[in-house]
Amino acid sequence: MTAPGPQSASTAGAAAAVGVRGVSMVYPGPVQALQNVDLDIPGGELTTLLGPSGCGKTTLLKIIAGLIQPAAGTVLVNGRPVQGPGPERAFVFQDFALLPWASVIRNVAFGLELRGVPVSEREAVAEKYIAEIGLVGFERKYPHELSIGMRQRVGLARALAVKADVLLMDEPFSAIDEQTRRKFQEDMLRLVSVERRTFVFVTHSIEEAVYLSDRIALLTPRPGRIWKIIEPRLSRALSPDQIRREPAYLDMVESIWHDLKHYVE
Amino acid sequence: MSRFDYRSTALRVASVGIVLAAWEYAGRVPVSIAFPSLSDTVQSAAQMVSDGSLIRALGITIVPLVIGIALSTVVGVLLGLATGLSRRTEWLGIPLFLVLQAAPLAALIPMLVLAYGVGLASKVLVVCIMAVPVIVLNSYKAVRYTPVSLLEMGRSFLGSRRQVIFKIILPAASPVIFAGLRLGTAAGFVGAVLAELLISPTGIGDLITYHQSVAEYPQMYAAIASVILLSAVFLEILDRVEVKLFRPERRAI
Repeated sequence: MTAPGPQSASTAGAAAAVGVRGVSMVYPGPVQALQNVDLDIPGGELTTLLGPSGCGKTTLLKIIAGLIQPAAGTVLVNGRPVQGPGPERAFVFQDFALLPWASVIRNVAFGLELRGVPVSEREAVAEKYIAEIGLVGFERKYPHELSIGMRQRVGLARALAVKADVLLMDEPFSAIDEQTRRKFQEDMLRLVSVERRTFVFVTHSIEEAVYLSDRIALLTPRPGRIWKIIEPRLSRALSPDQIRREPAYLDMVESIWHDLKHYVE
Repeated sequence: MSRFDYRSTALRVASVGIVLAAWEYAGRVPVSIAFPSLSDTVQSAAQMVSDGSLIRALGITIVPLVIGIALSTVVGVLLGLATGLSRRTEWLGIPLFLVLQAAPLAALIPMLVLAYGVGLASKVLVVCIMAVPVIVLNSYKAVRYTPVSLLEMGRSFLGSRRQVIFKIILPAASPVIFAGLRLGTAAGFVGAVLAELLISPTGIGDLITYHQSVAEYPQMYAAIASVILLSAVFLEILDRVEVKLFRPERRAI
């Protein structure tokens, strides 16, 4: 398999779509984590999987990634069934999963390194995404020398660098402090509009979901099923601060909270 | 970082200083006629270095030691990796090494002498049986406890099994593997001295036994201190090899 060149980057993603068809998951116990989940994720948008903790949203994301085999059902990416991890999908980990012994640039280029892309070529790609996420000057630093927020930026750049159509993000901001997270969310919005890829985002923060998403798939508590699909459709013309004061934004946060409230002890 | 380094160096010097001062004090009291002071010991050591006896003895002791530790490193790390990487080989080796680690291995020495005589082979084997279990068990644990998210990361970015082993599992395991090598080296030193005391008196073991028998306690302690020093030098070398080979992020500091 040949890695896509730097030029074919951002155009490929727009049409990508993920289809989840009748997916169920049972963990030993037995615990029914997911039950007959059907979900369409349109290409070029950011779709959030939102639900109370333990609803199986991370499990669903890892099934889409091909890291977990579902007990039943299939996942289609660009129309092809998922058998395992594939080059058209990239994962951003909740705990970043950076190599502590590798510099920022090697971490960002690591996906390409595993695909056998020559050093000079993969470092050129990595440089581009390091600039994109705002870490210029940190290329030769090691993860332990970075702040938590910067580490997740490295994780994000690594996922972007492999030119996957679909980015799967597992609670990427949950370990990050509130102020850094807000900045990060604003950068995410810019990234979604610039990169034109399909983002699938797992979070348990209602505000984050409403603020970032084109579509929100609300999951029920265990066993997880798709409860409803919400499309915030907030105007992206507004500044981040305006959005956070928009009545539409506040009403949506309130109504989702109303839905979820009785599942929370 | 440099200020922290400076402080930790100062603390290390202070801790060694306190121990040496206590030694000198205890030797002067004296706590026992068989316990010489630091200054007497240093004086004897200097004299034993200049007449060549100490260097000659270390030269003899180091032979089974180096062969034994080199063998143990290769065999121990490979066994540890094999058992750590595969569930099928795990049951084969690990219970045996858990038992060996708990066993008083010095008790096996008479049996080794029966089988391999009083020569080099027996001494190398003593070093090995002391060093191998801890090296195997550490390497095994290091591999088995590779962070799950790093393994998932390797798989999701399409790493082959081989790439995941060499680019993720081994570097992630190296700190614990090297911790095992340090413990194994220390145990190997115990083995080497035991072998010289129990099998046939050669090298440092001979010096210790001889000076004890003629009640030259400063010389005896000089011999003991020289093995401790040699052991510390070995561990320091191991540490540098680790940083050089596997820990670029520590080199940067």
